[in-house]
Parts: sequence; C-alpha cells; structure tokens
Amino acid sequence: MTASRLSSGGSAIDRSRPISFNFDGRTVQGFEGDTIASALLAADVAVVGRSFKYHRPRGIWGAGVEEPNALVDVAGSVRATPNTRATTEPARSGLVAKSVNASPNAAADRNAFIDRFSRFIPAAFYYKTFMWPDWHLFEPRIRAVAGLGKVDPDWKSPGPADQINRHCDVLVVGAGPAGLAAAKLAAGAGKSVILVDDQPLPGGSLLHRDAEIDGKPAAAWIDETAAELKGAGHLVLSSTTAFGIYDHNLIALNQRHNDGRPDTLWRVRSRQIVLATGAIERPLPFANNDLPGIMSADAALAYLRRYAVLVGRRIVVATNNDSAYEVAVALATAGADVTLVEIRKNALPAAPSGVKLLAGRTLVSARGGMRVEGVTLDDGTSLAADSVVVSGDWTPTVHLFCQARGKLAWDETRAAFLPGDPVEGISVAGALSGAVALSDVFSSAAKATSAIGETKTKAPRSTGAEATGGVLAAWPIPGAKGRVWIDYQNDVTAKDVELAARENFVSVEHLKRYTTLGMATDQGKTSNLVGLALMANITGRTVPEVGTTTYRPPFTPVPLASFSGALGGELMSPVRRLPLENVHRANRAVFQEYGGWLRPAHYGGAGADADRTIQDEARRARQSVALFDGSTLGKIEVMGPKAAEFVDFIYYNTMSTLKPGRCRYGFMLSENGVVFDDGILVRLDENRFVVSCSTSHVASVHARLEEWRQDRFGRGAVYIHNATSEMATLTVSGPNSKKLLEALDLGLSLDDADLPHMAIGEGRFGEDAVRIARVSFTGDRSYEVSIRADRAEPLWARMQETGKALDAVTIGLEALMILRAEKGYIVIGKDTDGTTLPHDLGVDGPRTKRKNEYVGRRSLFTDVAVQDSRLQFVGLTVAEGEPPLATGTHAIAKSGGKLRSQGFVTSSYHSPTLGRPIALALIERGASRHGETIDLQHLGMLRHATITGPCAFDPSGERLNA
Amino acid sequence: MRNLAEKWAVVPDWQTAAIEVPGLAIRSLAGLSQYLVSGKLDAWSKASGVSALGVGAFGKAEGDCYAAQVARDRMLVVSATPLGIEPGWHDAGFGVTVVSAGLQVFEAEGSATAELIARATTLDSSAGSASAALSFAGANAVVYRHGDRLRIHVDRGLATYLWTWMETAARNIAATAKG
Amino acid sequence: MQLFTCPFCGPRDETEFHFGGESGNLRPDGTDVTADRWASYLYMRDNPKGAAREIWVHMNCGEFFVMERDTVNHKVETSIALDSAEHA
Repeated sequence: MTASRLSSGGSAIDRSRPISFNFDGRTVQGFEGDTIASALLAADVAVVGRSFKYHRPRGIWGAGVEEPNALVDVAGSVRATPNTRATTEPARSGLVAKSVNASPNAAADRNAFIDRFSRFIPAAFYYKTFMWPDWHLFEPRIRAVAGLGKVDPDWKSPGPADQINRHCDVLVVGAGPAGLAAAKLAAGAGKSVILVDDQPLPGGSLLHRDAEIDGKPAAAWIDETAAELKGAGHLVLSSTTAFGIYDHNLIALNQRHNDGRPDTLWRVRSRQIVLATGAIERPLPFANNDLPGIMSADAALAYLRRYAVLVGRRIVVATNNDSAYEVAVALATAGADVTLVEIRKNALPAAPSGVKLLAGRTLVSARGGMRVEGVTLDDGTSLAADSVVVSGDWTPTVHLFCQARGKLAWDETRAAFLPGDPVEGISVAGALSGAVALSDVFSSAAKATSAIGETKTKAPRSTGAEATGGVLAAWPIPGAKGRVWIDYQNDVTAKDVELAARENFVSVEHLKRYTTLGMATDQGKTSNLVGLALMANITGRTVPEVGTTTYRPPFTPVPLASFSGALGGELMSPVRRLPLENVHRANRAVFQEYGGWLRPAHYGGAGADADRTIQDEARRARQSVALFDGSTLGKIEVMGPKAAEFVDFIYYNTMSTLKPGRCRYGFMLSENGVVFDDGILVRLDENRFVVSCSTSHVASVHARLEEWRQDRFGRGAVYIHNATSEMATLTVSGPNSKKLLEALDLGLSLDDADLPHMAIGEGRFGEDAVRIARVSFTGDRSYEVSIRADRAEPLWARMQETGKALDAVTIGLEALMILRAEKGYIVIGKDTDGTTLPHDLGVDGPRTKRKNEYVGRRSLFTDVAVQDSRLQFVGLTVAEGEPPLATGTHAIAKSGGKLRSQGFVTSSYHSPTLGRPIALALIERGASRHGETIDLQHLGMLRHATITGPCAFDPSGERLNA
Repeated sequence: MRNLAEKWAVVPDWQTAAIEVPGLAIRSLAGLSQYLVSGKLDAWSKASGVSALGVGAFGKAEGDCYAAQVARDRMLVVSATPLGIEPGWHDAGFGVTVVSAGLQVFEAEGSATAELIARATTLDSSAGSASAALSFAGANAVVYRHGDRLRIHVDRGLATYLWTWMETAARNIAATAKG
Repeated sequence: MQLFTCPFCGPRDETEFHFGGESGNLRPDGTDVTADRWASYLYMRDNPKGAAREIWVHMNCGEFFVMERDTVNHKVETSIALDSAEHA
C-alpha cells in the first residue's frame, strides 16, 4: 500500500455517499465528489494508461484539465466519451472506464515491448522508414498499435445537445480567488455577470491552498461570494469550460452535466471579459520523469486536501520554486516521509517543518518499472521513494487571451509568458496576470474590473499568510543522459527536440509538426513551454525569440454533439413542405427532395415499380389530362413606378412590351452572361409583375432583384415582395385540361379567345380568388391554377373528383421531367452548366436585337462567347431498339490520336408516348450538326447517336392550341 | 427509390398541434390577415388607417391590427379581420401583397419564453432592433411580442421544420429546468 | 462570430449577412466597354489586408449597405445604406 485514502478530511467528497465504478475490469470504490483519478489514486492504482507511441506505463500527473497521462474511454449508463481526462471526469456508479492504448489493460499491456525499441523509433521515424514502396501499406498496422482512446461507433447520443445564447456585461472565466473577486466587484458596479469555472465547485486554488480572506477561512469566503452572486441573479456556471473566444467578444462555453444529459453549449456575447484562468504547473526535466508515481506537486496537494488521498508514504518533492514548500509540509503533516529536493541554493523560503531539505541539488533521474522506486540526484545521492511530486514552476493559462489575438510578453523574473498589451474588451487577473500573493491577486482583480464602472463592493482582503513566487528556471539541458520526457501525451522526449534541431526544424511551428510536440488532446498544456525552452537552449536563442505556437480553440476537447446541437437528423438540412403534402401522402405519393422541397416523385406507393409507374404517369398525361402540384414555383412580385424598366434590365428578353394580363418566358443571366434562371414573367398590371422563377432559385432570384433594385434603380422606383408561399399552384395539363377546368366552374371564360396561351385570367373557387395562368411545361394545353395555400385542398379534391370521368392522372415530378424533355424544355443547372450562354440554347434574338442594357449583356460579346466551338443545346436519338443513353455520357471525338470530349448528355429518358429513348445534350457546334451521327462513351461503352433538334414531340406545337 | 416521406415528420395538424412543457406553451395561430406593404408607409397609413409605426424585434404590438417592421421601407401588417385594401401597386406610392397563407404564425407564452428565444437567436431580446425580421432557429422569421405572448411568423414551407425544432428546444428547456 | 451592423436593424450576428462584393466596383454599361474593363468589373478584386470597404446585405431585412471594416482585426468601423453611401 502506497497511496491511500485518509480516514478524515477531503472537502470535495461526501463520505456518506459511496459509489463504485469499473476500471479496466475491476471494481473501484469511491465517494460522491471523487473524480475517476482521485478514486483510482485512493485505490492505489498506479498505472492508468499506456503512452501513445511506446506503450510506456503512465500514471496520474495532474488534478485538472492539463492532465496528459490519465486518459480513459468512458462508457456505461451515463455517457460515452473517448479520451476523457480521468482528472476531470466525475466518478459515478455504473460508469465503465477503460485505459487508453492498452490491451488487455493498462497494467498488463501486450504491446509494452515496443518501448524496448524506442531508441530506434524517434520522431519522424515512421515517415522516414516506411516510404518505400508506399506508406499506406504500413499505415493501418502502425495505427493499430499507436494512438489513444477508441470511438464507439455504435454509441448513440441520448438526445440533441442544448445550445443557449446569452448576453451579459461582464463574463469572468475562472472562479478562483481572482475570478470570484472580479465577479463580485463587477456585480457591485451594477453589471450583469456570468462566472464560469471548469471545476465542479468554485474556488480554484483556494480549494486546496492555504488562505484567509476578510478574516475568514477561504472555504467560507468562496461559499459566501458564490451565494451572493447567485442571489443577485447572476449566472454562476460550474463544470463549464470556456473553450474559445471568437470575434467581438463572443465566448463559447461547454457545460457538462451529471444527470445523463448531453453537454450544453453556451454562446455568450459579453461587453467585457475578465480572464482569471490561473496557471498550470510544469514538470521538471529528468530522466524517466514519466514513471507512474511522479506527479505535479500542486496535484498532490489537491488530492490530499480535496479528496483526502495521500499519494505516497515515502515522497520526494522536487522543485525550483516556492510553491512546493506548502505541498511538502502538508504531505509531511499528513504522515508521509518527505524529502524536498530544491534546485536553488540561495534566497529560499523558510525551512519547511517536518521535511528533510536538500538545497542546491537537482534530480537527474528516476528509476522503477510500473511505479517509481527512487531517484538519483546530481551529486550521486540515491533516494528511495514510492512517490515523486515535482514542481517545475507555473505556466499562466494564456490560451483564451491569445485566442483573442492578445500578444504575450516574456517576464524574466517569473520565467513565464504573461499577457502583454491589453486587448479591447478583455482584461486579465490573478495568476494569469503574474500575481502570486493573494493580496496581489485581489488587486489584479480590482484593476481588471476598474474600467467597468464604479463598484459599491469593497475588494476582498487577504488576511492570512501569503504565497511567494521565487523561482529559478530549470529547463531541459541538451545532451542530458536518459530519456527526459517533454510531452507525455505524444511521447516526445528531449532527444526528439534535439533531433528536430539537428535537422533544422528550429522554428517553433516546425518543431511542433515534426515531433508532434503539443499536438495531442492536451495541446501541450504541460509541455509546450518546456519544449520551446529546450529549443531556445539548443539554438542559442532566448525563449521569447523562439516564441510560442498559435493558440486556437478549443481549450479542451469539446464533444461534436455540442456543436451540432439540435441541428441533426431531420433538422440538419430541412426541406420545405407543400401545402398539400399530407394529401399527397394519403394519395400514396413517393417523396423525394427537389430544389429544397419535399415533393411527390410519383404516386402509387413505395412498393410499386417506380420506373413503370413514372412511365405510366407520363404516358397517360398525354392521353387525357394530368394533375400536378406546382406550388413550389417562385412567385416574386415586382411593383412600382419603374417596374417595367426594372424587369427589362433583369431579364435577357425585353419584358416591358408585355401587355397586362399576359405572360412571357425568359432568361435571367448572371453578369458573366451565363443563364442563371428561366421562367415565366406575368404582368398583372402596368406597375406590377410576378416573377415565376424556378423552385430552387427563389431565394437567389429574390436576393438579386433586391440587389439591383437598391444598387441601380433606387428604393422608390420598385419594390420586391416574395409571395411564393402564399399560393398553391395546381397544374392541369393535357388535351382534356380545358374540359376539366370548365367543369369546375371557376367563373371565367376559358375560350381560347378569352384565355389564349400565355395569358392569365382571374376567377373564383367558392369564396376564394383563383388566378389561372395558361402556360405550359409539358407542351400540351396547360393551366396553372393558383389559390391561397391554406384553401387549396378543396380545389385539389374537386379536380381529382372531376378528373375521374376524364381518366385524369396525378403525376409526380419524375413524369413531368419526361414530358418536358420530350419537348426539349430545359431545366437550368441540369441541361445547362456554369458556361452556358443564352445563344447556346438557341435564344439569340435579344442578344442581337436589344439596344438597352440588361444583366450580363457585355459578357455575350466576349471572344469566348462568340467562339464557334461552343457547346450547343441539341437532342439525341439512338438507333431503334437501343436503350436510353446514360445522363452524363460524353460525346467523344478523336483529335491527334487522342480522344476528347465534345459535349455530354444532360437529360435522358425513355419516352412512353414516342416509344423510344430521348436525350438532350450540349454538343460542340451542335446546332449546325443536326443529322450527324456521333460517338459517345460512358463507363467504357461506346454508343452512337444522331444529333437532332431538342424537341422530339409535337415539334410544330399544335398541342398547345396557342 | 427511397420514399423520403419516412425521413421527415408528417406536417402537424395545426388546429390541434401544441407544445407544452412547464413554463412554455406554443400553438399555431390561424385566421390572421397578413400583408406585406412597401414604399411610402405614411401614404399607406393614410389610405388604410393602420399606423405606419411597425414594431421591431421583440417589440410589443397591441390590438387587433398592427404592423411589424421587416425592412427600412417594408412592413408586415397583421389584422384579425381582412383589411379592405386592394393588393398591388397604389399610385400614392406603396405596394401591397397578401401573405395571409404564406406566413404561418406561432404563438408562445409562459415564463420560459425567454429560454426559447435564447435558443433560437443570438439577438439580445432586451436590446431590441428596428426590424422584427431575424433568424429564428435558422429560418428567416418575424418575431415580436403581442401582449405577453411571443408571435413568430415564418414562411409556410418551413413551418414544420420550425415546429420540430421548437419541440426539441422545449424538451431541452424542460430538462435544463429539471437539472 | 462577428457582429455586423445593419444600418437599419443595428448589430446582428454575421450569419444573418451575405458578402456583396467590394465597394466601388461600378458597373460599366454598354457593349462597347473594353474586354479588359469588363473583366476587371467581373473578376478583379483588391482583397485588401487591413482597411476594407465592402458591400454587404442583411439577408433578413434585405438592406444592402457599405461597411468599412478591418480584415485583420475584424473591427467594424461604419455601415451606411447603399443608396445613401458615397459610392458604393
């Protein structure tokens, strides 16, 4: 027995509530309030994991977020997370923790032999060695033995993570003495405050360091202050990590829960941010400094006072600074045999009582296997020890400050990077600002909040003994004997850094990537400064000359679930819903997503043969009458005194000559001349048009109309209203469409003289106004009947009912696609691409005739636009009996002995009415090559087809009855 | 061909659909007349008798007929009864489009309404904003208070999405209140 | 996540906005515009480091505006509606 739980004490644990959990197959007892790490220590588990590369046995180093070694994969009833730090994960009954990179477990790992070959596998070994014949041959096996935790692919989140937005005047990160004081002062200034801390309880270092505040024990002051803040309505969040600062003082928090809920993501916009993030203790450099049983001195003190765990019986404390003295005394007082090895000779703090002090000595190596057994000092002294607790001094937690583009300044006396020039909206306090003594901590908090406003609260006062910050830098020395670990989590030693320097990876960013120093899940919280100080040493530069790598969010790993929040599953990329969706569902429609809408692809149910059903719908549509839900078509109103001039500019075609009550088909171009959208423009009256753009372009057309309106025409000239969702549009098409509509008695004459092709009429259905547009996307006589979306159901039902006598068919979008392709009607983005100009589609009139300006005009006269090798829109027919061409099939031509593409098939179907395949294509010079037979190739198959005009059905347009 | 109808929840029956968790109740509101009005808003006000002052984001609308500002020169006019004004362009300098069916209206009430807002938008509900048009759960919506309730107008095609989103948010609100 | 200021609505989250191009890229009308001039209008951008003058649109209210901001420190200096900006 070395580490053990003391019979009393432990401010964080509740001894009346024992818990038990599973670690690597064994049951571990603990108390409510324990972390996995504190419970494992109390159970004297020394080896808790295996290292990333060499499978070295590793024990617990720290007591917080900086932990590099004690990673566990957590599963069980509450949550499943790989690579969780055992030092921050609460121990809970029912939890199952597994050590990482160990098989079968950390204590007996079958890959432990790898460490014996370590001298042959330094940094970059894999990449240098496994180059031939191909790294990918070796990669899977190497990955199988290296690495950390494992993701459970079968794990399912208990529900979507919550995401909450907040605003406040002051957000304080860190609820240690500085953070609590800053929050108190800000609250006293009448500001709304949010105080965040990643520990389960506020207090920070006060939870285990000696302090007396305002004449009270620290614990009482913490409780009082936190209660005061909560009482005044301020938000105090525990177990919550501020992991990122983003632009304009947005700070992101991840909150962990203990009740099985996924973590909560908070996005807080705060006028002022006070960073009181504290500092992290560094290891000391000596050979085998990664053995289990070697631990941060501050962590040893935290385990003693918060969890009543004494980490050893025979303890060597090694330090280069004052902060370990309190630790040595406390461990001795708790009953351990303690020796303090102090690097410094002079200017030492008062001799620690009950502790053997060896000043002016340096620890050079540790020995042991599965646990440290002793140490050797620079004078050859050998000390037996079952625990070595070390303090290599403190690295201020500057991450968030640097994320906010704060620059660091090197403080030679503190041997640390401290926040430099202030960043607007952000202030720093406590150990982060370099303060050590509690009174300095409090005055830094007062300073950090001084600009916020006058506070009515008195700053807290330190009334007890104060800590001192004496330190003598102890960086790794080049050429030291043995393996001195720098980055525990990624298995980087001092020798790896030296190798990087020899190979000229001396820039700190190169050092990082070459050795992987600081690239593990802990992001080098304990190792970065040590590594770059060594590099400074090797290359004869100072630490600030070497500099730090860039700090980026997140400060600690954040579950992806926190980022996705509710927007998974059906909320991730929501489709728009038709007003008649439930009617179509009842009518056994099979739905697909088209242009962001959920629309019927065909009817007849999912069990039906889809191809046959679609063919059947398309065939019957030509025979009598088809009903189709076209509600998704855009309906954007353009109104105002200059509306006609406006649509002229927007469209490729002249639109101002359109008469009220009439429609015209036209293109919209982009400024680069490419056809952007096509559709019908309706002129309702002199100053009012409706842009019926294609379904998927409603938002982008609306945006470009708004842009040209404000940019070119001025606000008063024209106004844009998107009314797409107001109306359902029910299309009636086919030879008997007029007959069906007449039977509905809509109160208007449907005679061709009164309602010719490309005209609109107004009627009524019951109480509701209907607008009938006689336009066609099928090539047959067609009517688009628009009615208020929420009143469309009865009209649709009447159409269906009336249609029965006419053998009407309800068609989905797939059948419509066949009908329009038979006619050679294009779908933008399918039959055109990002190079298609209007004259490529055979629409050259406006280009040659229009004299006034329109969007994209100049682009139609560039050298490229007038090239005769352009791809032009055509139809393709194949020989009788052959199957349809595949969409995407390339037309090929031989030139200089090589095959090249001369265009491709854009749409291809079997036409049930024509009884043969039809295809549309963009083919080089296609318009002048009608009748020519060309070669096509798809997936190695050679086909032949004859170029025709795009329209394969009713080329004279008789069926429109125009 | 997979039937994607299985992937998305059926459009709710808006007459009976309700979200209820402690402190929050949400329902769909039918029967309001809605109009987009653009142009000279004073001229519109003179012609219609409806105030030209529209509420902004989270602003407080009162009565049976009111307006919410949705752009510098555009309002969403809401009325319990249809307004006798012709849609289209009016020579006085304004244009009117009926959107009574185009925008679905939801109404939320209860002490946890603020929690719903905190999940739906990054906008500070206490700070206000000249227009009531904002991104609400990712959808462009018009959001303001009517009496002590929150009214949300959203494109009809996205109403089912927003409803499912609000159901999820309401569950999270309830779980947070409990935890 | 940045805060942009819509000249009408005030500060809103950047996700409510869309970039609309560099300010001052005026459209030359006519078919006699030289190919170089037209290509410059279509494609050539300064992409400045530091002070930038850009067109943005607030998608929710549809307001197009000129925003002066710093592309390095992301500070937003001014926002003026497009039609009242000295162009633009």
